[in-house]
Amino acid sequence: MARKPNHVSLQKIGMNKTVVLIGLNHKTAPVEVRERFSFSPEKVTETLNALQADAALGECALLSTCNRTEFYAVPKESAESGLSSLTRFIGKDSTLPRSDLDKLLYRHQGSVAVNHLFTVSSGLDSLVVGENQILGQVRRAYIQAQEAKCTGPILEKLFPWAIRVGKRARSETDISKGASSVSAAAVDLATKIFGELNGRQVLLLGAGKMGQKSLELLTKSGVNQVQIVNRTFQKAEELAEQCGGTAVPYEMLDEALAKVDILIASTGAPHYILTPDRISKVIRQRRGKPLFLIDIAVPRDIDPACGEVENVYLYNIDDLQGVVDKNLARRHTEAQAVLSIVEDATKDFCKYLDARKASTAIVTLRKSFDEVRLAELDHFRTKKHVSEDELAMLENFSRRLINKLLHQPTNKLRQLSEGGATPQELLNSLELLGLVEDETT
Amino acid sequence: MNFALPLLAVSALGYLAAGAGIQRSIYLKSQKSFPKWRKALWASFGLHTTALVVYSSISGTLPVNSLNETFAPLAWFIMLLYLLLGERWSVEVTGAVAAPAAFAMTGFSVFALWQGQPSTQAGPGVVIHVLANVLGFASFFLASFCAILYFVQAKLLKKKQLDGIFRALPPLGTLDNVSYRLVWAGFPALVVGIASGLFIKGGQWSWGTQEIVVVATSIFYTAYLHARVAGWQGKRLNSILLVASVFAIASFLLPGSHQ
Repeated sequence: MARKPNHVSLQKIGMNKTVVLIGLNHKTAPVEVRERFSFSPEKVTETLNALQADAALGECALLSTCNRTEFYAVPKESAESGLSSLTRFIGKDSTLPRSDLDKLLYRHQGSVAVNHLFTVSSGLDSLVVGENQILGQVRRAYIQAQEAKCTGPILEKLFPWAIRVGKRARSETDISKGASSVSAAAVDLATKIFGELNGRQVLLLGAGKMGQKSLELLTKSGVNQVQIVNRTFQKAEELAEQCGGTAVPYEMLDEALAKVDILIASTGAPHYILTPDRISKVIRQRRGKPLFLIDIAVPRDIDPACGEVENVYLYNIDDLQGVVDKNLARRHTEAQAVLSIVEDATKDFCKYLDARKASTAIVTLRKSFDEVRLAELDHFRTKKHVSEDELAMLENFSRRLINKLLHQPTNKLRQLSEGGATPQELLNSLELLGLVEDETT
Repeated sequence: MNFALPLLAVSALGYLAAGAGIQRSIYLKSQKSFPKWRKALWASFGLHTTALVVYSSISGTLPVNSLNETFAPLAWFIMLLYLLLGERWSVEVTGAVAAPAAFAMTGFSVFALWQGQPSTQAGPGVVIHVLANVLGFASFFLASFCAILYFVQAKLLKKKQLDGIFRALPPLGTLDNVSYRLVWAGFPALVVGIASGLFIKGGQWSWGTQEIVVVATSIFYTAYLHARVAGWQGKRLNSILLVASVFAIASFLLPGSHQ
């Protein structure tokens, strides 16, 4: 006696799963708003735990940086219910009126949400296009979501995919090449002059903030011997203590210059401190070793004619800014190539999701038929006149029959999915066979 | 015909293709394909090595019996040094000259070996003399190219022309270091080359043109090493290196007593 296969809902078989995103960034919200939605690492875990308790959300992750706060989730039910849930969650502790908050937030779902994450990880959506930090931040968001046990099959695929897209964008294009700040440009040039910066010596002349910033970046890049010269020796000592350097009296500037490789000048002096004559005397003691002079003071501390002295390379603030401008312009021209990588990756990910939906549908189809087959076999097992050998033959026969019968429908489901069929269309095809019932109808 | 010659010819073509590839990458201001060309050069180098082994085992002698023949081992040493340097320092750009030079030298050597009469087997003294000189010259050749690049890079930095070839060229410090190490590698070979040459001639030193040039070469390289060890760097030091290189080329190519 034929039995009707079990009815399975769309939600239960997981064919409606999609990615949703809600967030704000430097393009939609000013810093005063962004800082209110910024999450420390501890708070990210706490927030993820709270989100996990939400009945509407299956998987979730939180990307929080100084320029963006974005919630990614895979709703248990529809995308709309997931987005509503996230909106409620964000609005819960916000002091902003709901209407104002709505204007600052962007909401995406499906391929648009996937595309957005890939755009973010590739650096296209960053304040400084192509910056590298964001890739680490996306990775951190993924690890935090994993640790909070908030990831599932879709986010487990999506985030590593996004990290791969970010890496590809950086390795296949020049999107992240070249310094994007004056300090970084100074470090880049120092590297182009000396090669490795490990063991190099730097002298900071003056205590200007820009100078300190460049010094910080140089020490991060390997420069490990720092000397500080300032008219007020006490100030030099204070700064030396802060950065682990040595304070040198102002009168000993020339002696210090003879030994160092890099000089950063950022005093507030109204006149040139270093002249070609003075530099020429110093350079004679240096036995031809290159000297990199970085003059970021305005008015300038170093006479431009010093740049003519042999083995001296002089760059002022405008030169460095020029380097940055060129680099940024180059990054923008690379954006088109990165965009194409992002588009391709989005298509591939959506194909993966579709294939996942098709395989879910195929499993459902086969499971339903198998249940009928096994029930019919049980019926024969109760008959005394059917021997073990005959039962084995029936078992084999029924399996082969089901395989043959389902061959065409399985292929059809795959074709439908590859042809871009929506979960609803796949569901409809299963419905034709009476295998599932749509809860929405 | 020695079966090694077609192998040698293919390796020469490999050098040409890779050299052209590196030059194209520099022209397009993209260094992404450098690793690919390095692999191609390693493959050609492997073929070159096989060809030299096959040649020696068939003919019973290394191709060191005339100046024309020695271009094959010379190209081999140039590529060996270039590839080894590239594993430690980012000096791939030197391949734009080293690889075409290796092509020309290997090609010239193939032509000479093809046309030439079967070589008489050189004695061990001659083999040591030639190989030492060839290793020395290969080191000096690459060092001189690094010195030229040093001047180009220094000029671009001075003029603040930080686009185009500037991005492909290695840092000044790297070029300086690589030149220094190459000269260190080449100098003992030069000394062995001179000493073995003197031994071959029965210990009799004559002041011919080649001998004078060889002495000048050693003086300039000694001066370079002395200054570098004393802490000198920069343009003047690289100028000494370039002058030394001119003498080195002359000493290698001058017929002298090699006829």
